[in-house]
Amino acid sequence: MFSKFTTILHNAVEALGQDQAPMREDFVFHWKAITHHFVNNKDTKVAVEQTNIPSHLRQMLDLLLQEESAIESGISGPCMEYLLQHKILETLYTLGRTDCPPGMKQEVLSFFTQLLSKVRQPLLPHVNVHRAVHRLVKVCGEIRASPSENEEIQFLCTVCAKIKSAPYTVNFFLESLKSQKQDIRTMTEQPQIDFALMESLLALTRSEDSRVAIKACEGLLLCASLPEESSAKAIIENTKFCTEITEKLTRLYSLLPKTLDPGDVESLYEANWGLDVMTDTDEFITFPGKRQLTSFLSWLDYCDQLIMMAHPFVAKQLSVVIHQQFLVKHIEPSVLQTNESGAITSTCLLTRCLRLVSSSSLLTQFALFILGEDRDPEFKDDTTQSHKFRMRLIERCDHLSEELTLVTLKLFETLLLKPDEHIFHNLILRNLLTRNYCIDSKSTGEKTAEEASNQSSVSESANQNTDSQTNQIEADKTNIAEADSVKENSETEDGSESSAVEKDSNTSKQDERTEESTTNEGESAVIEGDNVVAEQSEESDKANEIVGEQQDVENTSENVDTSQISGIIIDGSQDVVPTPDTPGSELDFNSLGFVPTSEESSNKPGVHKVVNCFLSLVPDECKSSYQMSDSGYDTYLRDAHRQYTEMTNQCLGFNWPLDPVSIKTEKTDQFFEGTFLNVILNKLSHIMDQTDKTDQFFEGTFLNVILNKLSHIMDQSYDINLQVTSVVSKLAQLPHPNLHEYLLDPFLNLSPDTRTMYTVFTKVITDLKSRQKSIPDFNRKLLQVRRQLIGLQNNLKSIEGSSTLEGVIVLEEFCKELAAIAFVKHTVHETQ
Amino acid sequence: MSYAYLFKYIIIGDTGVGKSCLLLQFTDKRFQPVHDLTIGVEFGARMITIDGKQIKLQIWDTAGQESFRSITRSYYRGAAGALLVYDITRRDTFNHLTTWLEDARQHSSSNMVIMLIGNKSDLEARRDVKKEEGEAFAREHGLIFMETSAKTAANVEEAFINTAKEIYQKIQDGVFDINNESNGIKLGPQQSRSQGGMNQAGGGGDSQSGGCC
Repeated sequence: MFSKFTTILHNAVEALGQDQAPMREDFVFHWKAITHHFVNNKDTKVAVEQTNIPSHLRQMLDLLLQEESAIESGISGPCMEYLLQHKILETLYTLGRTDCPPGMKQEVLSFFTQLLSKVRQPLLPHVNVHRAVHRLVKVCGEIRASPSENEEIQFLCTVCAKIKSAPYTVNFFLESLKSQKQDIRTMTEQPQIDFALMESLLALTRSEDSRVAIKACEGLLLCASLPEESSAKAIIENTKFCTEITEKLTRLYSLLPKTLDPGDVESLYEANWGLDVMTDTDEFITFPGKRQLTSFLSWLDYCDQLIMMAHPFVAKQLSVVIHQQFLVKHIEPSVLQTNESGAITSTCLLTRCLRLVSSSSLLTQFALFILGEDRDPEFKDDTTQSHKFRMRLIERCDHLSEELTLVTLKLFETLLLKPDEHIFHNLILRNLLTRNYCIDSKSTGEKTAEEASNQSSVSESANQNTDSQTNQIEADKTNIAEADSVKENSETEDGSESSAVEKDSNTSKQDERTEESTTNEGESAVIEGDNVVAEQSEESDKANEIVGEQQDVENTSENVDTSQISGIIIDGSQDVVPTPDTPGSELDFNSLGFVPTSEESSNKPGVHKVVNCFLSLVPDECKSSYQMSDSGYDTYLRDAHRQYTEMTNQCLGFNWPLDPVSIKTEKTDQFFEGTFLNVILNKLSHIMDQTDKTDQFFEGTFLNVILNKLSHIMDQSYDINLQVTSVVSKLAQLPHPNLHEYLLDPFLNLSPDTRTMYTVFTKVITDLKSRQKSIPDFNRKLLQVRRQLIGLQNNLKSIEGSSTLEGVIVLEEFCKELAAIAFVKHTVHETQ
Repeated sequence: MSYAYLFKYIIIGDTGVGKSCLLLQFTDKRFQPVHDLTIGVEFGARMITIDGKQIKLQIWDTAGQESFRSITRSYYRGAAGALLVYDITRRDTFNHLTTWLEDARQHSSSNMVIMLIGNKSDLEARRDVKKEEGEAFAREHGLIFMETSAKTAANVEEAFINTAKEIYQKIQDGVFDINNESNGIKLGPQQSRSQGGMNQAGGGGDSQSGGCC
């Protein structure tokens, strides 16, 4: 009846027009009605719904909104003034806190929510507003599973949204406590800050109601992403945010079944955090453990999103805590456990987690967890400084258990797809940057070595460019009798090299190469000019040798390396090479004349030679794909193009050089240390160099195990071969010049006893040739196995020696893939 | 209840354009004039029929407020369709469309079907954006377009269903790889993945799923 009366009164007010004074009276009337209720009805257990309180509160809110829409913005109307002056919100907070009458808490919470979200003028800066709001925030999440959870989370999220739109207001919610504990713990002046909003949200993330829990996560996300330093600092130093988030991750991880099928783990595509999880009903449970796995992964996804959006300081700290508290304490032991099926499942899960991670901060911690911090070159059989986890994982790439090998290789493949420079550096590049896999002029004497490195680094490239060009032509003249070929040579050069700028960048390389050739000849100190001509001529010889198999081989005795390389080539191409462009090949090859062993095979002329080299690696009689309708080379080209484009985009930020570098560890410093120190350091570095020389080039533990696996291509299972080649193809795509030449340049002047992928393959081929004879009816069986592999023929009857034959087929296909990658890298490079 | 496909939608647009009302009208067939501001993201679902096939729509209703943008963005992932809503009585909501569109395109699958909706068509007297302008914008950006009223329910069904039809057509054409859940499409529970593929090939004729490994 009372409410009826108020409604009538209200309508009467409205009818009188938007007169401000009556509105205020009205407002006061409703407020008084509420306070009177408490004066008159002490200790009643009547639920709030049965009283007029909700109605009065609604009317008050309506009046405030009406008032705001009637007056110009920026001014508080009389109702709002009354609200602020009479500490109405504080009183409401007290009433809500005691929850008297029952249900009052919900009413108060939704009044605050409405007030904050609907009133447009900034309210939080008013002390009478934010003090009450802050106190109410502390009430939220106090009681677990309280009936007001829903209103609590609505209120908290509204506060978060308000703060987010005016981040400085977060400071009203950072309460500096008089720290009594302070002197007990440390003597430092660490003010204890209470960030009640975060604590209340954290409490509600534990709610049984998944909707409430998710909203609480959203609220945390808003708070964590505030740009204010003060709040970021408070979150990290004064709340349990990081530990609670990580603990939940750990808890969900521990709930996973001990063993899961690797295929299932991989097949679970989607695990986005948020409401998705609760909509996934039983109907989608396709394998045991799926629900647990989804919960775990979606929480990790939440962490990832959180870290991506959070204040950088928060992001970093949370990532570090996840690294220390979750990865090291839980993932590591379960991956390293001796139980094989457990280890397989855990490795798979780690791979799946890694695949999901996209925030750079968390990715960095994953990389550090798996690989450690080391960035210096590795030494053979040196186990002292190695990161234990990394070591064990690399060992497992060649494990007795095939399945464990497979999942571990898969983990590394996933790593190589992640855009974090440290991954590539730690696994591979740190061992290649010295460039001592190929012969450096260093070996001719230290002085020349220094000169060489100086020369290659000093940027007088313009002059050098013209020099080398003329040298080249001279070289051609001296060596090749026909003037035609000279013409041809320069023509192709001009044709293929469109820009002089590109050439410039390559010049230093040419020079370096030049020096290397000097060492090949065994002449130590020769006067520069003549020397250059001399070796240039030899280089063109080399090219001619390689190209024209029928040509007389000149100067072979002089250069061991050259004969080695050409030997390989001739070996591989004795039977007609299936070159796509045989007629034009000679022209192309001739154009190579000036830099026959150029490591910039990504640079124009070398590419056809490289491509042919890979395509002709497997002898024709061991090939089987030509018997099928399609050799599939086009598909490889397309795939390589797509993948390489993705890969280069990913590596854009790494600032990798365009041309191979040889970084000497002791010279990495940018500054000049002064003459005196310089002399001392030079002496030292000479000593270092001496010791270095005794040390073989070591490709690093990772490449070592990968090359080992490649060398066993004919003795291991088809699955392993596919996985290994898949890893290598990722490596080959990486746009780093040193790795590129190491993997994809068959003409590299290798240091003694150094192996590359190419030399590994040539050994495999030699082995294959001898085995081929021992398998009767080799070609027919080879074809049969191929048909089985692509499913044209069911493999009911096993074929003798089928694993060797499968290996041969993988090798043939992989060579095509590598050729395609080399070609694509070249063309993309050229168009840039 | 069983269904052949499940499509995920998101509803985006400025605050106060009527996103939540559209969803409520579509799922509950009612209109609520006073609506609380959406906090973060809310959720609704309904079953529809296209081409004799039951399709479940899962709809994420997002908060329009800028401060929630970081949260709503994470919901863009894995949406097959988006309803981009503006208010025909408020030009500023129309002006912000480009920003919304960029945001959506950036954070979602490139195949996502986007329906542009000019809401509050019942308020013809207060119209501030001409229908032709909406049409032109849609044409320019390759969107489907409709004017709706969450209040009178005009075109609301059509907006949701036409979007679904477009997605369905894309599946038939092999543009969406149904085996890739990041597209925002799931096969119903009664069909396993491989079965789904077979059904599809059988029913759609030339519609082999497009993606390979």
